[in-house]
Amino acid sequence: MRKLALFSILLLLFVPAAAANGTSVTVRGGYFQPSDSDFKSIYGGGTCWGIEGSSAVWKSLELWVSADLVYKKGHLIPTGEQTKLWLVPAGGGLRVVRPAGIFRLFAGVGVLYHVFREVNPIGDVTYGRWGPAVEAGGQFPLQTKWFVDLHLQYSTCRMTPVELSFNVGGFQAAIGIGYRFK
Amino acid sequence: MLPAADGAYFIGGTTTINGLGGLRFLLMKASSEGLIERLPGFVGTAGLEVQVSSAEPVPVSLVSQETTVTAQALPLTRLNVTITGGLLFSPPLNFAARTLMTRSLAMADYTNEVTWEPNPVNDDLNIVKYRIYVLGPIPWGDLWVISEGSEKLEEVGGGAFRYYQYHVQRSGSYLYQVWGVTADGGEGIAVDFIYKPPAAR
Repeated sequence: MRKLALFSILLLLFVPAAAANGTSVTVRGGYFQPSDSDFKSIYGGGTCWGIEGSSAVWKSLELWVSADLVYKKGHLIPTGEQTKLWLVPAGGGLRVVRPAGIFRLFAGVGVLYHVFREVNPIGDVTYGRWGPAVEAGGQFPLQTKWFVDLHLQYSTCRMTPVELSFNVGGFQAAIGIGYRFK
Repeated sequence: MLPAADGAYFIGGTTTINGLGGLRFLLMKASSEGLIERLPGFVGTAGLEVQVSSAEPVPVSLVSQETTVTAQALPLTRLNVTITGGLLFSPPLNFAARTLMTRSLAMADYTNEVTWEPNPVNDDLNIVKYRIYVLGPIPWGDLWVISEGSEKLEEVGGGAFRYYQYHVQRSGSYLYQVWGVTADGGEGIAVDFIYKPPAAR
């Protein structure tokens, strides 16, 4: 996480101009690893799916918006009965883009609204809260408009919907395919 | 009690659980020779002895869903029928309960874990599930005031000798009854258990 943040800051400080380019949409799938120990023990990590849009706003600066879905089945402690979780972090931010040969590397920061829902024999709870996020990655062109997107993201968001407090943030690594409109 | 076409009788009624009222339903077919058939869908009691009875229409609520019994007005009659059982099977063993603090990621609650063991004498029967009748919380003290919604009937698989009751209140006792159900719908004798969770500190 610290390396990702440091990388993002360095890229923000030393980025050359004019790497941002047009508007793009990316669909991605990957793996979400929660940072909270209770989250890990009850649900563990799992697949995540998402969509992201970006658009050049100024020189090398891009605006990004995204939404991801994490759905997991876990077990209650200690009874072991099934519990289900839906987590949708959605939000946006800014990132800088740096060309590296045919690749485009990016790093950015943003805020995500984490919609959390948990259903099990104890109850059904839905809650939402904002939390910060940093991201980094690269885009590799397949042809003029299509590209492959490698995406790393770390977010943190502590919430207390009812009795217990926990963090729904974590580390996400995903690969996607994108389309650039310009 | 209602005469059947073959000369036997349908016998319906209720029994009580620990004096709490008519909670266990019974419907069987019998003759003066003894029990012929325990009709499915109802809990039976072995060794029932009917000394005196009156003939009257079987209430609709007592008619098995799998057996059609035509109710009709009949004159009163007296019968001596001894039902020796034999089609019923034995209750589960080693019933126990304890209270756990259960948690998910966001929620936590007290849970009663109810466990039992299969009865070896039923090993030749195909018990496909267990039914669990729950009554509670029953407030502590001499006066038992049972609030609405405090009764429920649950089921678990025949291989699951465990039941979890969530949202337990630690200010009262719980009555549990557990009995087996075979593939043909036959129901065994229930084991009764009253459990008092530890008081909140």
